[in-house]
Amino acid sequence: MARPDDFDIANEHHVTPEGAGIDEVLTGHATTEADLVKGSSLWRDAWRRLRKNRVAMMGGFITLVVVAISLVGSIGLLHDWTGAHGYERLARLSDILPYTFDKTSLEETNLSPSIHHWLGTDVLGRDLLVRIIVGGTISLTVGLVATAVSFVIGVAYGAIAGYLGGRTDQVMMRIVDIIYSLPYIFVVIVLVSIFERNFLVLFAAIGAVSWLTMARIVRGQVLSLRNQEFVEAARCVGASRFSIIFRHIVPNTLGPVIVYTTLTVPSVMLQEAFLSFLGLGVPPPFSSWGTLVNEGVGPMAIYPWQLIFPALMLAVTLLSLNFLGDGLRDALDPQMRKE
Amino acid sequence: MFTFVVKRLLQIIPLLVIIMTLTFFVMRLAPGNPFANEKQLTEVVQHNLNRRFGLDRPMFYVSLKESYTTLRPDGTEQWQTRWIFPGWNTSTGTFGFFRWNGFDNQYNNYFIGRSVADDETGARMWEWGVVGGNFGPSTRFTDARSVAEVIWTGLPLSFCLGLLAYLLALVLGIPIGIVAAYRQNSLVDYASMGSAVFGLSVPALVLGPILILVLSLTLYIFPPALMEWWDLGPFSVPNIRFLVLPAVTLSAVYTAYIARLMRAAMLETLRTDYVRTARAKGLTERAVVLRHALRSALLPVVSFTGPALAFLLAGTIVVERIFALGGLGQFFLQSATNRDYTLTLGIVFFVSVVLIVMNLLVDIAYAFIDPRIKYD
Amino acid sequence: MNRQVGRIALPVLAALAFQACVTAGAYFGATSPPGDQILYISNQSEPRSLDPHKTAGVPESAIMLNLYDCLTTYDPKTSEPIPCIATSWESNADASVWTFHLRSDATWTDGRPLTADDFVYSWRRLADPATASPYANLIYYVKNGEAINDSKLDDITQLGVRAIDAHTLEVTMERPTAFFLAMTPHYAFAAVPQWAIEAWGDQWVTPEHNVSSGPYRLVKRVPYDRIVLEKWNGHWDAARCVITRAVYLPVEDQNTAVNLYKAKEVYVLAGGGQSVPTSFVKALRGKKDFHINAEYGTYYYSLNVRRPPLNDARVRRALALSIDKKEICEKYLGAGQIPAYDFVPPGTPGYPYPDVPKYDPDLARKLLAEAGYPNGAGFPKIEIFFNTLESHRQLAELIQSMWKEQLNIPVELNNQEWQVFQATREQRRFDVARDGWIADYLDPNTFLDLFQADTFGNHSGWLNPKYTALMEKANSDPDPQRRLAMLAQAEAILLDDMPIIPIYYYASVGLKKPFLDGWYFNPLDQHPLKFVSINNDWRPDQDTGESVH
Repeated sequence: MARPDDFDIANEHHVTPEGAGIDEVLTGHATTEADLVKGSSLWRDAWRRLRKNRVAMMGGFITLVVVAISLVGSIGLLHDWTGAHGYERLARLSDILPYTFDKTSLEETNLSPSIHHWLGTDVLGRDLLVRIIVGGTISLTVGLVATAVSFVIGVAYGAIAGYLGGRTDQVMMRIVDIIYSLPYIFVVIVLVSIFERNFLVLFAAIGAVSWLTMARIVRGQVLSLRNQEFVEAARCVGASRFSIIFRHIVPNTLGPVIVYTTLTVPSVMLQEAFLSFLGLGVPPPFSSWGTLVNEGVGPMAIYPWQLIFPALMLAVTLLSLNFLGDGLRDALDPQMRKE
Repeated sequence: MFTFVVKRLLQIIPLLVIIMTLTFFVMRLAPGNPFANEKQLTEVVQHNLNRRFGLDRPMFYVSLKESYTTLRPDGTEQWQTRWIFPGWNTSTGTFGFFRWNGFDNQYNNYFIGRSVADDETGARMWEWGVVGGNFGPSTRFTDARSVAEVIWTGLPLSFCLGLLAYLLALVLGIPIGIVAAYRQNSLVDYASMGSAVFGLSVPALVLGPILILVLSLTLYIFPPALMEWWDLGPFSVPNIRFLVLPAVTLSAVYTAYIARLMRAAMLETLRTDYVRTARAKGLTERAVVLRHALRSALLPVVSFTGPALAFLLAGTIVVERIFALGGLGQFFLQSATNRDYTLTLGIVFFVSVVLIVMNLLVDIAYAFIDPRIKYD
Repeated sequence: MNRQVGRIALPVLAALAFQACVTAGAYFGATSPPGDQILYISNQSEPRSLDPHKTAGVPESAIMLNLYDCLTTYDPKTSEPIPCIATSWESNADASVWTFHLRSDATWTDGRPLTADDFVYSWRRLADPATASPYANLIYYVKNGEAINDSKLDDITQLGVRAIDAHTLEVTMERPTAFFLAMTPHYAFAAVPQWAIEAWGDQWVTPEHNVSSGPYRLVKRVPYDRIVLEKWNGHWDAARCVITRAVYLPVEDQNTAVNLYKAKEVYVLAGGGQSVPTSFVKALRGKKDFHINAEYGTYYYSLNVRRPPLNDARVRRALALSIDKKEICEKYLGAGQIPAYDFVPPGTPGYPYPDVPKYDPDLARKLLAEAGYPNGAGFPKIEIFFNTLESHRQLAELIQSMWKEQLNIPVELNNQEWQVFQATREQRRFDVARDGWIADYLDPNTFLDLFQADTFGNHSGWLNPKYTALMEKANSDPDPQRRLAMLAQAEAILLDDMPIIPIYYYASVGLKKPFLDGWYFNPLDQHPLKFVSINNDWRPDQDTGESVH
């Protein structure tokens, strides 16, 4: 048990308040024990605090609304004949809006927003609102699933590497370096040419790289936590490695991790547009927010609505997601729980 | 610490071999060829080009066979191959095990080296491959002397631009993050985090053109694209002016990342007991935040900026394209779309070295920032 | 939160609105003449090489045209060959032997005279397999060219070109080739300096070592930054040259190029084809410095004739008949592209274009029913492949929508990265693939040649012995009129079988500052600098509207 010399910073316990009883030190998570006694779980506690945070609740509400619109909208709007690549399950339902996302009309190209087309039309005369709603499904699915993948792999990998340290850490981190260094564009092209276009490959392609920085961040945090007393204490009472890593250390790294997770969502959504360029992801005439934004950039001085609306949609969703993320971070913070 | 650094530096060599080997095969597995053009080439022309750049060899072929000639009944020679097994070798009259018949393939020729015949004297000379720092000629930029030369052409610009954007992101992102954390849930916090997220969701592809539209085509403050980089010297005043828009465009996303990470880590640190102790000791708020809290709050930011700086220095495709800059990003895009195998490998080599070194620096920085971190 | 968004979005909106006001006016961007004769050109992309035998790209041709003289050069208005190093020429009766008479005052920049021997060396170098020139297929028309390039003939002196004396060049063709003259201004046929190449190897094209023969010489080259040419006063035609310096900027992004043009950082967008993004076309159409010009090239879809259901000619014709090309050209492309029904673009003098049925969805449905798919019933799913580019994607989306509407057949789109797409197309792993051909020279042969054999360029896999025989007969006919008539017959066979669907003829869309004289938008998009000048006295009110359209 190495005791750091720097008294001022390092000698203090990270989680346990000063003067905590020996029992609490030994269990590592003093508060967990206390909560169990009270019968309230970590998650219920977090939910209670989250509800009090109005900004976070608003973020969550808007996120839900966007998700709902995209889901309901897409089911209603996807035209039924494009049974492309297994997307037909999303297809056919109703004619809420008299437009489809793929029916071109050269009589109505580049119309500005009006009563008929609320958000205007694109260069092929397709209603932009419909395309944004349909695009939302794809962007949100990709954004959330890929982020979840990056979260799970990144946290587990980084925590294990950081905790075990030594040679294992070295090998694991060098593998990360190798994956970082491979030319992504070629990896994707090879994936596409082997597996052809499908959603799973898309997630694999995004998931393969998005966890790398996450792993590095978690590892950095774990490195600074693993020699602390509460970890030592947990080790002394015979907690398994798995439980030390995931029950004692990881919860203490969640702050930056949650923030980085919410930061992953936009980058993944925009990455999807790049992958569409390489022929992965959804085929045209399907749209995603990323591809809609890309299409809108060129004519933005002439038909600004083609850029502004998809970009706004993206921004609003991400803002709400981020405020929700911040609220979650605060709610899950073991420190705040005592205040 | 010293042995740690030395060990890590020594690891670079096997790491690079692995990275380059993987890159080589991934790249060669991708469909396409370096000579594809809008106008398609005839088979003969394609064959001639392949031969000129050594692409007519198999990608990877290891031979445990030997080739030999026999005479056909009509007197013509016929080439045949056979496996060489351990035991008595009838053709050479020697006793031996599997005989290494060499590997005449692209990977070997490219990676380790090859023996080339001098045009005039006919003498064989050994020419080192990647191992000897020789990447060979670029198939996209055929006029360049070598891949290394192409990389050197693009490097200064990417380096200046990347560094500028990086510094900008740090200078803006860290203070914003600190202030937002210190005044958590205030208007300042919401405003700065709101704009950070907005900066994230507006990719360079959108931000760049908007900046050009407003600042260079409407208000005529900055030029719309970089011109005459080489005539003016890298850090001359006019060049800094040219670089402002690209650097701002490039740094937006990184600023947002850094500000958000900084805020989160700062919040965490501000609530720890040692900060409380520092406060209790009667230190000023300024000293508490900047001297005690900042150090350990920097950890996630440092983890993030290590690889980020590596990628910034290695050139950025979108920004360089929008502003018509001849940096490494453009070269990499060209090498990838043109399947310029040698140039791709050269750039990957360069990026990997920078990345590995950056990550090493990050690990060293950990130990300085947080003395609890020990490498044993 | 939403207020926050508004606060950021509003200034952007305001700026965009302001921008829209600024674009009003007769011209796009600044128009005041620069006061000197230095020309800035946006040149699409960084050249692969400045060696005429080492590249096959478009951006290179704009530069090499001024750097290395050929036997002939392009007429700045019509792109037809006009005298350059060769002052006159003749051919024998069946166009199988050509004789060129060269001028005696032509020299290289190092003072050596430019003679017929230089051309002999250069053309042998073009054919030599060791050079591995991507444009070597152009020398196949010359006797033994293909055999040498294919390594079947080792002796490169067997190439059908010889210097009768220092100023007379005789070219023997593989077979009668009436259109050979049209190929001679092409940069692959330029003369290159033997001694410089032998002394410097691949490095002979660097500004320090380069020896050239054209009216401009290379003074500077910075990859991805600029290539600078300077007027060479020793050139035989130097008196004609007005531009003193030409700066070529490799600007890959079309939006950036337009921005640079607007800010007058470049005076002209060169490189041919669509140099202005489609979305700008409508806004720019009224501007006086916006130019539209028909090009000698066709955009088409290749149909894979070896895969059902497209192996049925009726299905192929039904697909072609149900595309409303007129509407696509007028309402979507809108930049002067002409709907294509024939494969050979208009503008070939004396060519009797075959008559082909136009848009007729009723006939299309009838043909589809005859083929066994009444109202699209039972029609298998087909896929349109294209390389990722906004314009290709949008066109495919339009056509998908039209086929769905008119024929009720399931169509999917599949975009691929450029190289992957090329591989797909070459290996015929497609149903429908986007395709295009821009002429190397001004003759229908450059188009019809594609379907002569099962080789490169013939992506559809269509072969017809009648067609092949007719093409061979036509190209050995010395009478130009009869030859063109036979070519037209062959094209009629092609279009009756419909292995390809021509969609539109390319138009080059360009921006050119009004003070730039002598730069015309011509069919092959070639602009010899020696005819170009900057009119520094130009004022907006003096503009009479040049006849450049």
